[in-house]
Amino acid sequence: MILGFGAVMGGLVLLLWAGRAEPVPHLSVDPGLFPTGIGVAAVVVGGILMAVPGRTDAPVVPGPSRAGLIGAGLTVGLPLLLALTLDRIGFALGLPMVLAPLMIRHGVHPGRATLLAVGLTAALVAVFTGLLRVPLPLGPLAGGLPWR
Amino acid sequence: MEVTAAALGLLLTPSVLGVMAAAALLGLLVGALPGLTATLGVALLVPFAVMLEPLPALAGVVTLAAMAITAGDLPGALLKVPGTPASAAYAEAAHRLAQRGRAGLALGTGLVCAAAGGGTGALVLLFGAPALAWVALHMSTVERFWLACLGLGAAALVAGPSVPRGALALLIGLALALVGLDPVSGQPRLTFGLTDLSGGLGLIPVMIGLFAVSRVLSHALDGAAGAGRPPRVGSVLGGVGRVLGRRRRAMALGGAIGTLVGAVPGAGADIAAYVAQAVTKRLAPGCAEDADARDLDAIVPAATANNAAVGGALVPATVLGIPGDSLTAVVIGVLMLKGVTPGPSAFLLQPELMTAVLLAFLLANLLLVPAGLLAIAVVRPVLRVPPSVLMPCVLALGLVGTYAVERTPTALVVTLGAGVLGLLMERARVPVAPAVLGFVLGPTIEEMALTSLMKSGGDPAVFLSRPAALGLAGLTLLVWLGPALRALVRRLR
Repeated sequence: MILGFGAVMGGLVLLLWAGRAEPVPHLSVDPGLFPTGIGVAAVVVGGILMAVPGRTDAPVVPGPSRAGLIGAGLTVGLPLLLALTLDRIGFALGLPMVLAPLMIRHGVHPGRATLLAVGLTAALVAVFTGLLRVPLPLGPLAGGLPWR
Repeated sequence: MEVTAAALGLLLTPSVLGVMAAAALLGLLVGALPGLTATLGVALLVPFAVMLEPLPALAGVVTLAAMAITAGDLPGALLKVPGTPASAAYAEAAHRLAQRGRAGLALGTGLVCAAAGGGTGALVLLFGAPALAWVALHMSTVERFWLACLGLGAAALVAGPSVPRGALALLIGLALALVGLDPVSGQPRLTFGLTDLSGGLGLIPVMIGLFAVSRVLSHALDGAAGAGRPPRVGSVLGGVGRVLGRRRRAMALGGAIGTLVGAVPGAGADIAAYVAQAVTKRLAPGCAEDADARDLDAIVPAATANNAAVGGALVPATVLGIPGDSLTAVVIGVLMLKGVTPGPSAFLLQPELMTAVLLAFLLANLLLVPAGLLAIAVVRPVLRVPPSVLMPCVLALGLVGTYAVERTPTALVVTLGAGVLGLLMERARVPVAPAVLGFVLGPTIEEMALTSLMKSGGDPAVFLSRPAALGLAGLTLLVWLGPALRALVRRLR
């Protein structure tokens, strides 16, 4: 029911937005044509999902625990922080700061987690920048690599 | 015959074979790392190709392309994270097999299918290139529109038990593909003022987000309870002969469709895999007596088609100098760097060299099986890594791989957003695979439909105005409406 309602609302938003697309002079095709088609289809599919009752034999997934929500929040939040500060701190410093807390959160010993995070980052940076020659932002550590 | 013998003499030298072996290893590495595509791998080889003689350079390029696409199956089966977009069509099926302790069968089947598909593409390239190039070049935007719609028919295969949920997933993918520049007006569309989004969301960030980050998030939410037992690889080639023997038709269709779709400019290995799945589902329904058989039915045509598409894409590239996809655009660049102007004259002026390149592609596909077995042996220990360590590693690989391709931090944000979307879809029992399908095919469908309509002054009859378009439209309707018609006939009886 909630899924169907969400699909209908999403479709309506897309239809409203497509309706505001201004036609291009001298072109026979409206720029809002394709988004309108997707919007209409979303409203129809959403309506079907609302009308047709869900399967009763579907496995019931228990709601997430508080610890689970914190873990998921960290899994999104830490990489997001890395993305926002990537140009300044780079992957070489930033990635271990994402990986070590996540491993510790999943029960890995802090010392082992730190070693693994630093080792994995070093290996990834070596493979990408050294072997594959793909430049990665390295922040303050830029220029300290042997192959540069 | 003389040309072939001379070409073989050029090819079977230690320097060429050595470069091919090195390119094979690099291709396996690139394909197995989630995010890195075969195109990126070939582009990475260009600086080295400049320093090599023409034949080793070109042989290295075609070897790397074939290996990278095949190696994309490894993370797909073991981690449910397709290594390249070409493996996305059957990553979920391969992973389901792996979770049932049959990872070896999934990987072995994919490997042999890739070798067969690549071999088919190479043989077509050797003997039928001019004819195929003629067919591909006579496909207008209308036929390409129907071809993409035919690919959307694969949604029925990857949608799971609920059709409305599969349709919703497809629409989510099509809606995500709207982000970027409007193909009609050229105005930014759903970019929220971010210039980084004007080129669209990017297939790699979306794919890694939906497949990899959502899985890491799911593990973080469920903790140890959701980890499950790690999959066993088991025997790799045992039973593959029987599996493929029962799916000979699907394999042949996959090879033919892959070569043809690959030869169409603008279509690539990923689209070929989806189209092959859709068509095979209707024309060679397979032996879906149990879950394993159903998953193998999904793997065989797509794994054959994606490698055959590489050979197909090389047809217009070598015969006419027109790139079939981004991969062959780089190949054309390497050809020109080496003083070979692609086109019919290349076969007249340098027949030995061109034939040797095509033979190198055939040899690379024959080497896929031993190289793939080596790669599987190397990645086996990954399965023994506990999820508490493996999941953060998958996240790190996904983030670095995404950045390596897109070169902007915005792509990391898109990846994380797609990951959250993938998690929500999983919790709402909405399948992820049709969303990827919609995202891959959405821009092609929109561009081809709008271009066709603009050419005809807005007249929708243009979509049925050519015999080839009529044929493809009929096939598309058969794929889309086949199950409903069959159910109707059964009810009337």
